[in-house]
Amino acid sequence: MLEFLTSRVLRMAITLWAIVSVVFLATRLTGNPIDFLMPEGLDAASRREMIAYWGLDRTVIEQYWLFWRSLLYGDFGLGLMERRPVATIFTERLWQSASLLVATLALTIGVGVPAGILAAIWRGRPGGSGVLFAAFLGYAIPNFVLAILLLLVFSYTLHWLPSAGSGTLLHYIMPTIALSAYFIAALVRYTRNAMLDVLSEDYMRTARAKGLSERAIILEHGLRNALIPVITVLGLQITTLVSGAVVVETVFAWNGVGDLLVGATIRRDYPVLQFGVLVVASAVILVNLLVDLTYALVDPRVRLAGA
Amino acid sequence: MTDILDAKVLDANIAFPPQPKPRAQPQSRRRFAWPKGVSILVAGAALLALILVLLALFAPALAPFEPDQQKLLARLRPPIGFERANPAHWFGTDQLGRDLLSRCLHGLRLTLALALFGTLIGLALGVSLGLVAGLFGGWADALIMGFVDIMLSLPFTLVALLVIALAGTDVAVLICVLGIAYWAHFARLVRAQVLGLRELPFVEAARAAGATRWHIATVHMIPNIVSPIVVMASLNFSNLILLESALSFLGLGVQPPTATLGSMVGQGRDYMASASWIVAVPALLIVLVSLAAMLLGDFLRDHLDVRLRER
Repeated sequence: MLEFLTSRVLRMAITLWAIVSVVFLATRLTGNPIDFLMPEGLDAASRREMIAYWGLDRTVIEQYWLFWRSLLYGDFGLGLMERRPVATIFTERLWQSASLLVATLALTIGVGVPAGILAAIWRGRPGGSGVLFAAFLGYAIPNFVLAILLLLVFSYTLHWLPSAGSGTLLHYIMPTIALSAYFIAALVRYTRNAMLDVLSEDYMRTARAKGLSERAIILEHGLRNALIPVITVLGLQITTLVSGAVVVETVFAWNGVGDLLVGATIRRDYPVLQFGVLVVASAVILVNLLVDLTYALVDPRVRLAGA
Repeated sequence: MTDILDAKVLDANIAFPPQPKPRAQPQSRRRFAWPKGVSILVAGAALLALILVLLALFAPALAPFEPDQQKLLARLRPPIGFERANPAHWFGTDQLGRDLLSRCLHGLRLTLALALFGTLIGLALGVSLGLVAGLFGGWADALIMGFVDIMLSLPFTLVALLVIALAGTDVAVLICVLGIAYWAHFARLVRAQVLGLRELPFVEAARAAGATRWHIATVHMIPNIVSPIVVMASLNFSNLILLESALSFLGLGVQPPTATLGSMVGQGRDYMASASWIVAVPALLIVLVSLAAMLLGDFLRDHLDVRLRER
C-alpha cells in the first residue's frame, strides 16, 4: 500500500510541476508576457512598475522561481477587468462551482445507479430497452444543446424556471440536469454491465439458495460488488465533468469558475485565466489521486497488483 | 457444455480449415443479405450520416441563399408552417434576415470539415509519436508518455482556453486546438499496439533480417494497427464535432459572420425568447449529427472488435 501511495503521489507531483511549467513557458514563449498580463495602453511608468512586480526584468530562472512563489502564496496579481486580486475573484466563485458539481454528482449517482440496476434486472424486456435508449440519448446529446433545449422549454415556453444566474434552488435544476445527463448515461451503462456480471456470480446463486429475498440479494450482494466499477467511472470522468461545467455554467450565466474562465478567455484577461487554469488543474489531479486511493482501499486487487 | 462444443468446432476448424464458400453468381437472384450485427438503428444512422455528408458536400449548390446575405426586411421570420412565415425561407430567418437553411447547410459543411482536419492532425501527431514511443523506448518513450499522461489527466477545455487566450480566436487556431485534443489517445493506443506487435515472430524476423526501424514501422506495424486506429478516428471525429460546436457556441471558435452549427446556437441565444427557431434548428441538427456519428462509431468499434482503452 505504501509503495502504491508513494508512486501515485510522486506521479501527481510530476504532473503538477509540468503543468505549472508549461503555463509559465507559454507566456514567455509567445512574445512579451507583459502584453498578456497588463491592460493595453498603459503608460510607461506603470509598465515599468508591472515589469518589476512580475520580475520580468530578471533572468528566466528567477522568473520561474517567482512564478512558483506567487502561486504558492496565491498572489497572482490583479484581474485586468475587475482590477481586484485574481485569488479573491476566484475564491468568490469557487463555491458556486463546487455546489453545482456536488448537485451534479448527487443527481448522477441518485439516478444513474438505480437506473443501471433496473436496466440489468429488466434485461431483454421493454423497460430495460427503454432505460438503455434514454441513456443513449443522454450520451449523444451534447450538454450545451441539452441546456439550450431545456431553456427553450422550461424557461421561454413554460416560464417555470429562471433562465440565468444562480442563487435560489430553482436555479440549480436546469444546470444540474444539463450537466449530469451525460454522466447519468455513462453510469447507467457501466452499472448495468457490472450488475450483469455480478448477477451471474456463484455467490448470487448461494444467496438465492439461502432463501434471501430478491431485494436483499440485489441490494446487499449485487450492488455492493457492482459499485467498484462505478467508482472508477466517476473518477475517470472528473476531467469530462469539469470540461462540461465550463460550458454549462456559461449557458446559464452561473456565477462560477467556468463562466469566469470563459469570460476571461474572451476578454483576454490572462492573469485570471492563468490562475484559474492552474488551480482547477491542480484540483482535478488531486481528486484523481483521491479516487485512485479510494479504489485501492475498496478493491484489494489493485493494491496487490501495484501501481 | 457449450464450451466443449465450441472447442470441438475450433479443433475441427484447425484440422479442416473451412473452405471459402463459392461466390454467389451475379445472375442468381439472391436476396439482399443483411450484414451481420447491423441493426435497424445502425442502418438508419448510416443513412442519416450519408444524407448529412451529402448535404455538407453540396451545400453551396443546395443552399437557396448566400449564408451571410442579410435581408433586413425579412428579419426573424419563422419556419414555414408557422404564422408570418416566408415561403422562400424553409427554416425561417435570423435576427439579420439571413436564411437559416442556407446557414445550417454551410455551417454543417464547416463543422464537418473542421472536425475532419482536427482528426487528421490528431491522427498524424498521435500515430507518429506513438510509433516513436513504442519502437524506440527509453527516454523518448518516457518523455512522450509523460506528456500523454498529463494531457489525459487534464480537462481539455482548460488547455483549449489557454491556447485560445494566447493565440487568439482564429480558424487556424481552432484547427490546431481540435488537432491536439486527441493526439494523446492515439499515441497511447498506437504505443500499446506496437509493444504487442514487437514481440511477434514476423517482426522479430524482420529485425533479424536487418530491417530498419522505419521499414518495420511502415511495412510491418502500420498495416496491422489500421483497424483500431480507424475506430478511434471515427470516435474522435464525433467528439471533435461536439468540441468544435461547444467552442464556437462559447464564442471561442469560428467568428461571425461565418456560421458553424455551434456558433449559430451561441449567437441565437439572445433571441431565444422571441424567435426560438434560430437556436432550435441548428441545435436539433447538432443532435442529429451527434447521434449518427456516435451510433456509427459504436458500431465500428463493436464490429471491428477492437478493445480501446479510452477515457
